[in-house]
Amino acid sequence: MKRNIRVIGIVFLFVLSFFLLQHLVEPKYMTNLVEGSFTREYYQETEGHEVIFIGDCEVYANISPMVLYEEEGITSYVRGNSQQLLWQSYGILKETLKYETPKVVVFNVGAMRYGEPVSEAYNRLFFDGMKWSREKLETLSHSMTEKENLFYYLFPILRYHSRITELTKEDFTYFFKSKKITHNGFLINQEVKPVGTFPTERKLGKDDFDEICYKYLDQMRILCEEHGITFVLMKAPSLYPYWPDVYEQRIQEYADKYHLDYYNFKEKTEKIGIDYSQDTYDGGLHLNLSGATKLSTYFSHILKEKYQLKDGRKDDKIKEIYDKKLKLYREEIENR
Amino acid sequence: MARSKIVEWIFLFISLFVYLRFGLFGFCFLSFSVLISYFASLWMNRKNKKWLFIGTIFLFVSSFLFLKISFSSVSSFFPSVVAPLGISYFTLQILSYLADVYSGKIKPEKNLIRYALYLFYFPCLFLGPIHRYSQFQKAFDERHFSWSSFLHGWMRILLGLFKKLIVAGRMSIWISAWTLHAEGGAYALFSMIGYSLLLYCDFSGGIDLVLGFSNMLGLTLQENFDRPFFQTSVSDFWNHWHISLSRWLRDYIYIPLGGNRVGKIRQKINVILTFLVSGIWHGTHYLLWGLFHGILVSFPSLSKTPWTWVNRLLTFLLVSISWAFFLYPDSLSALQMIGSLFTTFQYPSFFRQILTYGLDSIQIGICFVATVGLFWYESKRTWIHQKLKKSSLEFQIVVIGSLSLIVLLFGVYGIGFHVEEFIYSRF
Amino acid sequence: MKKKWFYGLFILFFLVSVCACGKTESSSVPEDKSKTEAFTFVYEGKEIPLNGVFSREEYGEEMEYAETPSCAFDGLDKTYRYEHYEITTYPEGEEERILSIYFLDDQVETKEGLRLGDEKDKMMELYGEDGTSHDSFYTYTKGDTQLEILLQDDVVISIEYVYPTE
Repeated sequence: MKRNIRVIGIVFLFVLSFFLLQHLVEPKYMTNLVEGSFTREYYQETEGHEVIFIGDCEVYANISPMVLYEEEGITSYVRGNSQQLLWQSYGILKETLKYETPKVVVFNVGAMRYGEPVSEAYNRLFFDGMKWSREKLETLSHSMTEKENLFYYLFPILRYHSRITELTKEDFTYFFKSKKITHNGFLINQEVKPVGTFPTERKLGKDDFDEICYKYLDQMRILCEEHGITFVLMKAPSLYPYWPDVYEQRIQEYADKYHLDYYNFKEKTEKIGIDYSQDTYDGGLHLNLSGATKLSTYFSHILKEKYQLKDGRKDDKIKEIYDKKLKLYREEIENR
Repeated sequence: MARSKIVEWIFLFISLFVYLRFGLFGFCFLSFSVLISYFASLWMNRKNKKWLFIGTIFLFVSSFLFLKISFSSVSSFFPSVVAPLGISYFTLQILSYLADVYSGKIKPEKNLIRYALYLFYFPCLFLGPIHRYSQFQKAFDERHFSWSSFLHGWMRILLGLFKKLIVAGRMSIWISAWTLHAEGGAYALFSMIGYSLLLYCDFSGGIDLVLGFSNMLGLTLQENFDRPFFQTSVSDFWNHWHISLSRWLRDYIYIPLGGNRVGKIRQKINVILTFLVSGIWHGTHYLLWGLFHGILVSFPSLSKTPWTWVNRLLTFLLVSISWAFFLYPDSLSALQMIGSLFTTFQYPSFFRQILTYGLDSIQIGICFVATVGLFWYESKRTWIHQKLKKSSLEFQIVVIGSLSLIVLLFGVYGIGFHVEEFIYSRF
Repeated sequence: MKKKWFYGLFILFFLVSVCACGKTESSSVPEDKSKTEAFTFVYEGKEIPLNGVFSREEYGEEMEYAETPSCAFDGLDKTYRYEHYEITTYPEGEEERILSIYFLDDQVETKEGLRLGDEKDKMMELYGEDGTSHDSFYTYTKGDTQLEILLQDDVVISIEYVYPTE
């Protein structure tokens, strides 16, 4: 009997050290590749949002929920990830709706370009912080590239073991704790790099998006319908990768067909006041803080006007929370 | 009895399934081979046995050669199917079985299931070891599952993974960088020595997996390596490296040629001939390699000094140099690289750039410590095994747990690196 | 005694048959061959290999230069526009390696002789039916490299050499 307890104790100790070591080698995404912490950060605040933004870097770099609140009292969260593909957008929307039911879901259509998994590295940024659920498994099965398999996600040590010799201070500092990276999903970037030249636009072999993209767009639309949520489409004012006219046409047709609102901010840059020599941090791919503030201000008025959203500033409870958030937001802007 | 039969069926069923997964063509071809050799062995009792023996040997050797050549050449006869996996292993076992039946060493097996299992036993699919029929059946009949054999098997698997993933994985990164440079004796020398270690860790590590897995099932199969780098002569090396192939060559090539029963000159020629066959077995490209070893084994005084440690080192170096024929794409470049050992040197430049060959100082450190640890283990193997056998279950679990964590963390595997690619299975 | 005779015969047969077929076997290992094979672009007699190291000294000053960062990850893809083609590179350590070569006009042709504006038949003749096609987008693979050809009304409208990194 005593011996059995000893054996069980030893086995337990090894299982424990396995998980501790596994956690040690997992990237912490706190100072380097912070984009990997976006999915996880949402779990700290899974309710109280009237608008949810879904999409790739064109949302998390361009839409600032703090500005939406400041301007119109809108409570919102950006569930964006680098290279978030359509099936991932659907997965993350489905997951979000488990926690809360917003009034409006805004989807950025940029990722409609991609009909197949692009890169293992981006998959990791998306999934590493995601809680295990049916949604995660479903999304994983659509997202994995050829060289990946489920074991790499179930046991991240199989993927990250080589980091054991590359551990940095970050891995120990953030072993048990983590810090806040985004402001309701928005990543502040204050650098300025004016627009330069881009590679020549490639000719398209097709005049429509891949079927699989439509499939997931449909599913998102239907999911919102089922939950009584208004599904809105947007296209951020990025100059590159190119957004060809034929893509624009298709989205417009889709929006018309299902009576959805579609905002292409690329066509409204003058009205918004975006100055591409000042308002982008990487030469026209993403907006910087100044650009994002302009775009968010502009969009906040539209959202408020069209979708009858509550003014959170008049609600003491919300005001108290958002005042704290705003304080942190401003502090970070000043400290940089 | 009944239980034993069920186990045979289960083993065979799993094995057939594994083979089937590697292609229908190979599966059908190998199944057909099993049937032909099975019936041929049964009929060998009769008067016509001489011609039957020659006929079947001819059939198997020629079909083996035909398949190996046609599948490895660019203009394949069967572009849409792959060469049957494990065909080398399969053919050698069939040949040894038929020769043993013919010479009366064993009686032909009447039970087709048992015979099929001998050839199809799937853990040996990639690397062997090459069994004799009597050996395999003995191991199979004496199999005995126990928790201690299960744990022992597990440890053996971990040892294999340690060799394969921690040492060989890193070595292969280094060696591909060195062979790319291919300028100067220093690069050639370290490539050859490194390749020696790589081949050993990769191949014997693979065999550890096979034997460990069999141990877990309760089977104790024949060892294929026995500390080959501790030997003091090339001929001893061959008694401890890929033992099952060496013995096969001894019993079915060397001894029939006359073995030790003939004159001294004939004996030396026989040794050289045997090694030539071994070279050809690995591919015609390795003929010179076979000749090299044939000469070293038949003239042991060429590499003998009065000092044991010097002999050990010399044997290791000679064997390593001979791997040049495996390392470089053709015999000519292998000879050139061997020549460069004595003509160009470039040692200062080699060591100056040591950190630019794909492994940083930490990786080199891990590789070094692991290799030293491995050789320490090999030198104390018997003592360690005895200690482990006597030790408590708790201690064994601690050993298994620690080794598992070490392999998991320090192994070179995963995305961008495929564990299942054993170097030796190409030959 | 007789036994020995048969063994001798067997070994002789073994040796002779292997040596006779030796040539085909030694020219073997198809996977190595495919690795050394690659689509290569040649401009004015100079080879521009995919995944080769790029330098301005080697390939000349470009007319226009663009850089495109990726989301999240460090390192820029850089594009160098020359008169008739455009080279895109990706970073690998300190070096830049050639990721793609895109044809800008019909003044350049592939090594096999295909230009923008050529007919589909010519493409089929030069590259065969082996390419994978998606609508009118054809991808031919050789070793680690790809040649991507786009057709419109059976006329070649886009040619790009690509080294797929992921």
